[in-house]
Amino acid sequence: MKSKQTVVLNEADVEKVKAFSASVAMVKQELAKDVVGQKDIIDNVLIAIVAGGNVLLEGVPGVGKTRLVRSLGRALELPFSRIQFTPDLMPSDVTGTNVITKDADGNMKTVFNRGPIFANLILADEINRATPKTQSAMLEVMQEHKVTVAKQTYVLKEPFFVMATENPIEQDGTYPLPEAQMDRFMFKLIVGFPTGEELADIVNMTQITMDETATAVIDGPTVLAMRELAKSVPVIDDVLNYAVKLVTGTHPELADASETAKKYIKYGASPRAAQALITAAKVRALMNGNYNVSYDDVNALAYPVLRHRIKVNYSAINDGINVDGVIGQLLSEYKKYAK
Amino acid sequence: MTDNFKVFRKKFMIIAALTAAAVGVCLGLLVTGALLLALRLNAIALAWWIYLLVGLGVAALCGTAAYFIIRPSDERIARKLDRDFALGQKVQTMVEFSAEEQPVQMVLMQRRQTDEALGEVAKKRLKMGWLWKFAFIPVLAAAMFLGGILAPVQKRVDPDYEAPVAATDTQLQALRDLIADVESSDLTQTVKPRTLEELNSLLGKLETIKTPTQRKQDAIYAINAIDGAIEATISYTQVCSAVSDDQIVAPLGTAIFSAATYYQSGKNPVTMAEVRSYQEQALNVIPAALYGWTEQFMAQFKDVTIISSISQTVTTFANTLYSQLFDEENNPNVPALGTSPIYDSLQSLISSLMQFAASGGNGQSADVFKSNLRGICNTAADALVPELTVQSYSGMMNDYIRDALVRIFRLSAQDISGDEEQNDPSGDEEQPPADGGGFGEGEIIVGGNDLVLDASDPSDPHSVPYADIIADYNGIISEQIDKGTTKEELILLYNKFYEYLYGGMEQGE
Repeated sequence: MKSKQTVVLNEADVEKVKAFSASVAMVKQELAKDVVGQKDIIDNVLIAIVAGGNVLLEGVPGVGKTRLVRSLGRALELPFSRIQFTPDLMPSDVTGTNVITKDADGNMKTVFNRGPIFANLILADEINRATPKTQSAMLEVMQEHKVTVAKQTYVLKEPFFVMATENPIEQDGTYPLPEAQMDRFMFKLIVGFPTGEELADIVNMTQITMDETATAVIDGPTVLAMRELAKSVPVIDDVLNYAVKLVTGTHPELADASETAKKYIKYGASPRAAQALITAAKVRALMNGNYNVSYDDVNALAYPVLRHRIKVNYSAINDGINVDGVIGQLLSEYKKYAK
Repeated sequence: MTDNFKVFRKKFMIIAALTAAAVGVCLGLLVTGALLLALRLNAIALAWWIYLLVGLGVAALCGTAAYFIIRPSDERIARKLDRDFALGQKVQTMVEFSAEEQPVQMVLMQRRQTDEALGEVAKKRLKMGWLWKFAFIPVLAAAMFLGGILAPVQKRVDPDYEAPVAATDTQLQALRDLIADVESSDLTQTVKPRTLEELNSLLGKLETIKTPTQRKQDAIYAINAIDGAIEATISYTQVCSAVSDDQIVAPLGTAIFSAATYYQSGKNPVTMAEVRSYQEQALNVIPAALYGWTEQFMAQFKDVTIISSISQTVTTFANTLYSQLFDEENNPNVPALGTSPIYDSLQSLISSLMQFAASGGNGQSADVFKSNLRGICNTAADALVPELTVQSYSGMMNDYIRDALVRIFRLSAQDISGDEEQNDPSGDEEQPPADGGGFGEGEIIVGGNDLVLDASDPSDPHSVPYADIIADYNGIISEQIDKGTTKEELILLYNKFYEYLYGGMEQGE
């Protein structure tokens, strides 16, 4: 007969969880040195990194997207790489390519010259300017954290995080990201223009120095440990089902589609959205010092998870409702399930 | 489960128990009140302890059932705590993962965090505002209970209940007058004592207080008894019935019947005046009817001159008459006649006719033969007259007594016969009861409820239902007619009035 062992709370694990919150706080503190405002953006970016996802940033130039990722790399002590996507950027420019060199003996040999993708933190700037071929080169990297060149696969070091940017202004000469690639991003964050006060702080700060001053407070293994810890955060069935219902509710063709979807959505979010909701909600809960996922965690992440995964129809356009408005209506409609 | 959760669980269980008790009490009051109301309004009164038992039983049963329904599960408690204290599904998570045998460290940490959070809100009050939604239930229950207590107990009204009433003076006097009429009548001693006995017995019953139905039953009993006594003395009906099937002798029966029942020729009920003048009329009418048969019988020989032929016809008649009335050996349908002067007269007629036919005429001419035959028939007729007169008178008196009792006790033909369809000419339609008038279709209604002046006592003229007075008025008028002081045209008018009154109005009149 199997004896029942009583599991007791290990204080070391308690310390780990406390360290998680402390780590996050430290990182935020460091980032605040270089990035003014953007509190929600920073929170969600940190959630995405810990959760193992990628982020798509949309914002006008000069709002600090590159600075954020660079400061993040410094705070997390992770190698950072910036790729400026242009229409003539080739896939090999991203992943790297084999080059033929002479060795010391003068013999010709092929050496793989790693591309900028071989870093932990990648800023893919203006990703929608690259050609679809180059964009698809990012797919494998973002999804599998691997690069395959000439049948040789190179595994990228973890944690691997891609933050891509889209410039909403320059529509000419851009190649809209396909849905499959959009779905690879855990979040899509809208970087707004700073407030007057924030802009004043930015100006004052950058008068002193333009360089990032954040220092390393945690490292890559710590991020990975935080990731593992976040996975163990419990989620009750009601919350899980609520997240699933949110995603299925975005599909107008389904039987249990929401009224909002039937009215305003052309096609809904993929199953990755449900995965992203729960994974990110666990991280968010832990970052806020909670040891369980709540409805609030899911609701807070609904916008960044869903806005790039659903497409509104002409009724929404006609009624002047953007995708965030549709998500807001969906959350209101499903409020009764979040009790 | 953590200690703080147990504290809340205990609170919820107490609330559930109190709520269930309240539900039980409310339902108990509701059911008891409804029962009280229903029974009281239907004039049913039960002992107070029965209501108490019912109320307690309902309260206990419903309260217990309500507790098991209302009693929240840990999941429901957790959901309510998270919602009321904004704990972000902490308690729900703790409860859902409480069954894990090997929980991960995060679950244990979550459990401790939840317990700490519950400890912080332990002193806060639970939100019980939702209970006010059901506040109408105790109000309704209290109202129903009070309504049941305050409802007056209805008195039970038995639709078949009849209040005993005393007979009216008119009824008593009318019955006494009837008894006097019978005493002064020419009923034979065979039936008069019995008839007077029944009538006096009826008078005695009438002088007691009874219900109208009981009085009717007494009257019907008396009518049947008198009818039976008088019918026992009437033998002509059996004779007529026995000979009616044979066309040879049927005319004799018809003549006897019409002679004995001549007084029924009109539709009017028999009056005392008719009774008193009966003897005089009977001595004319009855022989005339019988002589009429003689002539009818003799008419068949009008052109017959052969004596043997006449003899043969006479023989056939006599034999047929004998066969129908007296030949018990050969005719199983011969009635049991008993003894009666009518039978004797008919037997004499048969003997005389047989002897006459056997004589063959003795050299007489056909005319003489036929004249002798006529003489024999008339002699038989003369012999029948006395007994027929008596029996006819008895029948007349029977009708008179019956009609009088019907008037006095306001009986209908249905009361007497007991046949429900007798009053309905169509047999299907339900006729409305006659009221305010003296007649109705198919019913013998005497008088109605309309008020008329009772001037019998000039010092105290007052209004009475004319049903109470019409018989008296009828009697007064009849007496005046008997005295011969009424003009002829008034007599005709009076007869016409009472013909309509007692016989029913013709269609279209």
